[in-house]
Amino acid sequence: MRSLSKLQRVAIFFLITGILGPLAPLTIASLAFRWGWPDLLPSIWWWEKRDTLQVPLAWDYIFDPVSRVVPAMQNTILIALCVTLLALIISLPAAKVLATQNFKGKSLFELFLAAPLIVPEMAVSLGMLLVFLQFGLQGNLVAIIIAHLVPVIPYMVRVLTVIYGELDKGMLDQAALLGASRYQIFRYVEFPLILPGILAAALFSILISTNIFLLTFYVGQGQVDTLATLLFSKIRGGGALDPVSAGLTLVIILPGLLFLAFTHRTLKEEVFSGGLNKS
Amino acid sequence: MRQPHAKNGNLKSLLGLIPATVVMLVFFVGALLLCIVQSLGYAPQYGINQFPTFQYYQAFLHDDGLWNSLGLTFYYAVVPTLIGAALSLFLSVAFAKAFKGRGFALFVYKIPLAVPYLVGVSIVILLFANGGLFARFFYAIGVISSPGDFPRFLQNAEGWGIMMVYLWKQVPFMTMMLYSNLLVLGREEEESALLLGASSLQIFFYVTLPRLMPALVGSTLIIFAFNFGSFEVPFILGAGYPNTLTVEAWRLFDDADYARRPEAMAIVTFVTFVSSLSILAYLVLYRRFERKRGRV
Repeated sequence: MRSLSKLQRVAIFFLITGILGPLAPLTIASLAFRWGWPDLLPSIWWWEKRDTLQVPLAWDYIFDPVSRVVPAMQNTILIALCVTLLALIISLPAAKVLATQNFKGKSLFELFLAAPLIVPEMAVSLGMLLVFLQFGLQGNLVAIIIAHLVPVIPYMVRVLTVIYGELDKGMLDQAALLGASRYQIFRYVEFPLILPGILAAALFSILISTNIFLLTFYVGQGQVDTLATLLFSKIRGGGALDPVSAGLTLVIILPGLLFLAFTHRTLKEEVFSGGLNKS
Repeated sequence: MRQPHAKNGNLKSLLGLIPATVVMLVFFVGALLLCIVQSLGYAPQYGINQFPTFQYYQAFLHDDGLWNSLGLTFYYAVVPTLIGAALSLFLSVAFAKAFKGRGFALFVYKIPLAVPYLVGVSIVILLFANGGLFARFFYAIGVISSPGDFPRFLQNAEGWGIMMVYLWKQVPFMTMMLYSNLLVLGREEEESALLLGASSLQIFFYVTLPRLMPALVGSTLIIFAFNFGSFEVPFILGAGYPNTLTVEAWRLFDDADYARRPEAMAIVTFVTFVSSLSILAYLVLYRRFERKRGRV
């Protein structure tokens, strides 16, 4: 392998700086007491006010029940986990069929499953609200979890189909030949073989679910807070970023970052190729 | 590909498709159908029952603002997709090489994938608003003397802020797709070209790029479709007027007068239609291009 050219070095430097750089001013903003124009750093930091404030103003508010951030964080994580589990149960059998069977209309079916990736989120969100209104199911966690399945399943099926396609069917046959039950075959042979795919699919699912705003907003009807809907209501005006919004932004980065760090070592980059290369 | 087990008729082997199909039919196809039905005047919950009528389509199709909004929607969707694709191609090729700190870079570049678009919006506001950090920096070094002197990046029709957020989120996404495809494709063909004396530019344009084409088309397609229908970024960082069609739909749906909701539905149906049509055109063009090259 050859080494990087100078331009490539610069490009990667800018990429990394552009991603990590903004975290510094966000942190500073969340610790500021007053940070007005034209100061490059806060004119009053919270620790200069610590005789009246135990913790930074923004962080005090974020952990206060009034701000609803902690329950929103719980909701976000709970929704993501339920969506992932449900989507896995739904997507695994579909992926297995798509990877091992040929049938009439297969490519049409694959197109049908890919459709949510290209239909505008707004159309899906408003339409889904109408569906839930028909069932009288809007404005609660269950509705949001079901709603998130729609953008998650297409990605999951794709990732899992690739893994099932690479699965050596001979191994399953050998286990069956040696007298393993169907459960044993799944538990001891099939499951360990597709585990990397399941992890990748779960990563996709959690990231997609925690990132969704519009669908949650409409289907939740303002009854259920998630981190994304809270941040939206904080910054929707588009004015200057106050310390609380800065802190909230940092809080929202956390779950995704932790999950990314958790899966980074176990996942090979190749698993992501399945996401798209068949479209 | 595996041997076909169910040639025809063996429906039992296809049972695994049922759960996914049911969820998609009820909550995705059902959602779109209800959108269409309501846009055609069936909304008894708001006391509207004129099905079928095209008046809600006519209402906005005859509005001059529509063409402005449609143009902006295309502009915000296409420009960042093209810039992002070029940057991502460049970065994915770089990532395939060996360099110091590669593991770190491969971790960090995925962070934007893991956070909502709203995080990007926060960051852009913090840095590029007229009272933001860059404006303060230029004030400190004496280039500008008041926030008003700083060029307006946010809440204007040019949409610089919108595009910066899109690029921040999407360059990592496209880079990931292209880079993982590069890994799957292997480097043998590039090595052969190198041995035969091709320059690195030649290798990129004659070997790597053609092999990456399907992945590139796939990822730009998804990004275009996303940007075309995206809401929260143009809502916060776009101009109050004119803005994209989705923001217009939000405004109508949010109206205190529920009778305007069918019009919002007509707009999102229209957005879906135009978006699908554009994607179809893109795919047809790509097919023709591949056929011309003799690949299909």
